[in-house]
Amino acid sequence: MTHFNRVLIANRGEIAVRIIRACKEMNIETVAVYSTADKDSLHAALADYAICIGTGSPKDSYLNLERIMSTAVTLGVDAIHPGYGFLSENSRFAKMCEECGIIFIGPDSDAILNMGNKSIARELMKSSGVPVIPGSDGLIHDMDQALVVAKEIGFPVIIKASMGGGGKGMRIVNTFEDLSRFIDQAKNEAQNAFGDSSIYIEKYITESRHVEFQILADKHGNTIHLFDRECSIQRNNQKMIEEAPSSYISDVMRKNMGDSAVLAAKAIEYNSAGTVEFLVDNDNNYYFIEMNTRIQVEHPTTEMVTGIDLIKEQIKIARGDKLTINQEDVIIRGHSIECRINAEDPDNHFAPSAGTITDLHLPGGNGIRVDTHLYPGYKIPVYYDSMLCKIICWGNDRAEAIQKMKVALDELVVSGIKTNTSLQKRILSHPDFLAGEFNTNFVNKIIG
Amino acid sequence: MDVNEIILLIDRLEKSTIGEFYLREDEFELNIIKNNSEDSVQTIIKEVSHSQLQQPAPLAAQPADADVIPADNEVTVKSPLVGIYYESPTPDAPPFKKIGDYVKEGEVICILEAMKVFNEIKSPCEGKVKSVMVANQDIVEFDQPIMVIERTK
Amino acid sequence: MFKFFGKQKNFSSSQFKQKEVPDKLYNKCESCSEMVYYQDLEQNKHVCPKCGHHFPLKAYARIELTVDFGTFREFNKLMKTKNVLEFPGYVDKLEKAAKQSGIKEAVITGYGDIHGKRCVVCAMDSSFMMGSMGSIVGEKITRAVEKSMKHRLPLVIYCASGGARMQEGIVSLMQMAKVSAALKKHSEMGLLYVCVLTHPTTGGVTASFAMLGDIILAEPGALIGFAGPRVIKQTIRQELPEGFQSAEFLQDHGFVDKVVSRNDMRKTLHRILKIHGGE
Repeated sequence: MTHFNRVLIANRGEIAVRIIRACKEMNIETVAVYSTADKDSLHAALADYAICIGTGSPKDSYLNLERIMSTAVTLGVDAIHPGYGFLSENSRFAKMCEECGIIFIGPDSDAILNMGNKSIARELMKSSGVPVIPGSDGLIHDMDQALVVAKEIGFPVIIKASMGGGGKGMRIVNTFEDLSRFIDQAKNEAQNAFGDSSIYIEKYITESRHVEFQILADKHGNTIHLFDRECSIQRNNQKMIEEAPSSYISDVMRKNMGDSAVLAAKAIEYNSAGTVEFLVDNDNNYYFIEMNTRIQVEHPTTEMVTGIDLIKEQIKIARGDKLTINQEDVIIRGHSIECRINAEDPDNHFAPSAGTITDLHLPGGNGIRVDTHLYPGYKIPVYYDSMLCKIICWGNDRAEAIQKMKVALDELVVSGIKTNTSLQKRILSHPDFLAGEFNTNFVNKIIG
Repeated sequence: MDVNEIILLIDRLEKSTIGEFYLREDEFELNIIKNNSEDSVQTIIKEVSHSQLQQPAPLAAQPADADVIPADNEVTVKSPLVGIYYESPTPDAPPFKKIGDYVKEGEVICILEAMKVFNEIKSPCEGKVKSVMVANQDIVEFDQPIMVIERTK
Repeated sequence: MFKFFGKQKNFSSSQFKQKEVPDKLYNKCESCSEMVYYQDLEQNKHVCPKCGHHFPLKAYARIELTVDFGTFREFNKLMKTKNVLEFPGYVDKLEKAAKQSGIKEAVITGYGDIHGKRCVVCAMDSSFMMGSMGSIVGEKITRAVEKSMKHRLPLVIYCASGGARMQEGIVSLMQMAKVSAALKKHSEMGLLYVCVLTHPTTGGVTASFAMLGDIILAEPGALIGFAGPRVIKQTIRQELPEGFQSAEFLQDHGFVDKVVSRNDMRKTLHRILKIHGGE
């Protein structure tokens, strides 16, 4: 069991602030890295040490392994927390940390590699008894195989890139005639986006809900889940509102899905925090989609209903501590909702909005939590994602949580840029949302 | 200096074309920088304690956040990486360049080490070394100013 | 704004205990000065992925990139150098070189198939005493030539050398004649000898077998010459032309038949063997 004196946070924005705070609470020194575009950022200001690592472009800074490793090595850090996005699921980065005697706060590079390849992940889950969407056995090698698979599972099918993400390399196919053409398109797109044209095919489920389970596993083989999150409120595959727990799945489903999630994590000898994503269809069947081997944006919702600090647990696990929480100890209390407030212009197809924060007033009070990197006068850099802050509300039940969120959003003031707050308010007042009757098409439908 | 004097000073500075004002009186330091792009005035007041004064200051110590705008004929050599600065080729050798030394274009002025790779940093121009902003074995970050070279000719 | 902003910088590295970084985790490319991660370098045949600069390649790695998997059978593996002139410090130097490079001498020789065609392949290694040629290097190569004559096989030699090995004096120089004589016999038998010049190929090796190939290939950017540029400049008292002694310069002036990148080398050798193959 090592003791961490110093941790480097290889990220920026609100998650870097979150991690720095957790480290400070644990009396761990913090090293922030920042790009020249981020020299006035909050995360750099809060850390004990802040090192500039490159220009604004992520490739030159937050994705620059050499400079980040050099910073870590030179400042003699014990561990690196990669946050989410950027290098958090880069198995080479994890390996480099291992090679330099620095602990990567996350799973082993092999687990990252395996789960990063969607086709391999699928096959691994299948062989471990975790339900997956009907589809091809591994990669598609030729058209004959593709046709056989499509015939077996029935249209519509979806072609997915094995090394994919972000919706790239995906094609929904409705007829036999389109199959060949769309496979070529998907392969080309995948080759360009990920340098790998491998694809596989799954049945396309038109109406589904995205329900994910939070995993926590230590380096001693103990694996637990911290129940579920409902993440179906998405615009163009980008999550907007997340809830814990899901109001849709039954307790029986919850137990089964939780067991499957733990099975999935154990199958790859996972350690640290992770999320197993499932797709739930209209007949209440659930299927494994993918596993995210990192902490996620929406982790605060789980923290609010379970009372467990996930970042601190990650740090404890990384330094070799045994999990002190047993599965029976994990209890969900109440209901939490998170709204992502993004710098987007609702009148301009939600194009990213740039600017300086002139006025800032954050909501507060009982059960209101705000995770942000904003401060009044902050100039939003143009290079990074548009998320400004996360507002998380906790209530004794879902209705109360929603009501608190409405009050909080009404109180929120972020002047100087356009935000998606109005859309969030619309969703929260929509009868279907209140009734818990929605799926992943909901947002796209209401904005037309 | 008392508060009223400082307020008067800031007011005067606001109206003048002076961009930066630095004053040190015994153990009192005052640095005021006018940030032109926002039309506001930033004030940093430090009560420098006696013990702090006795600590060795970094070479060519600058007040925090001072954006030194080099003159037209001056070139600031900035670090292209994150690493450790070495002023000489080996520990017992003399430094590559000292203040006042003449330097040719392409001549090695220092070594920056990153993960056991030793990078020779070469002078971008011909001239004289005006100032060195880092000390031997300092940690340098990306874009950190290392040396200012005054162009000759 | 915040009391945090405007923190004083400039901390010394002595304040921190640096982490132990494995040697060669990153390598600096001589040509473009970029840092290259060792895995990227290895996966790219030790060619800089950013600028194409060819890094030196050790003998066994060279052979692995040339012959079909599993077909290499080394001979004369145990040949060890004797200090024939009793040169002081030579034995120690040999031991140190062996430890550092992992091989016993500056050339590895053996049989190998290139796309199914059996050949005799020799690969010199500049990491062993700068690839200098002494009695054992000369003997191993001569025996390789003789084996290729015995079994009527094509011969491929990768050259990389700083020249003749000083510590063996005239014995080293004699190797030039010995190898050249063997190659003459080889040629008279109508057998094919392809030599590939890699960075750097200089001195006695250039002045003997490196320039005797039926076909002479070279890697991009390789330094190929006899005397060093400074000596030449001082002797002829003239400025040397741009790119002097580079593989490309030699190709332009007829001393190298073709500059072939490492990635295309195996393919190129295969084509040459096919054309000259006979059977």
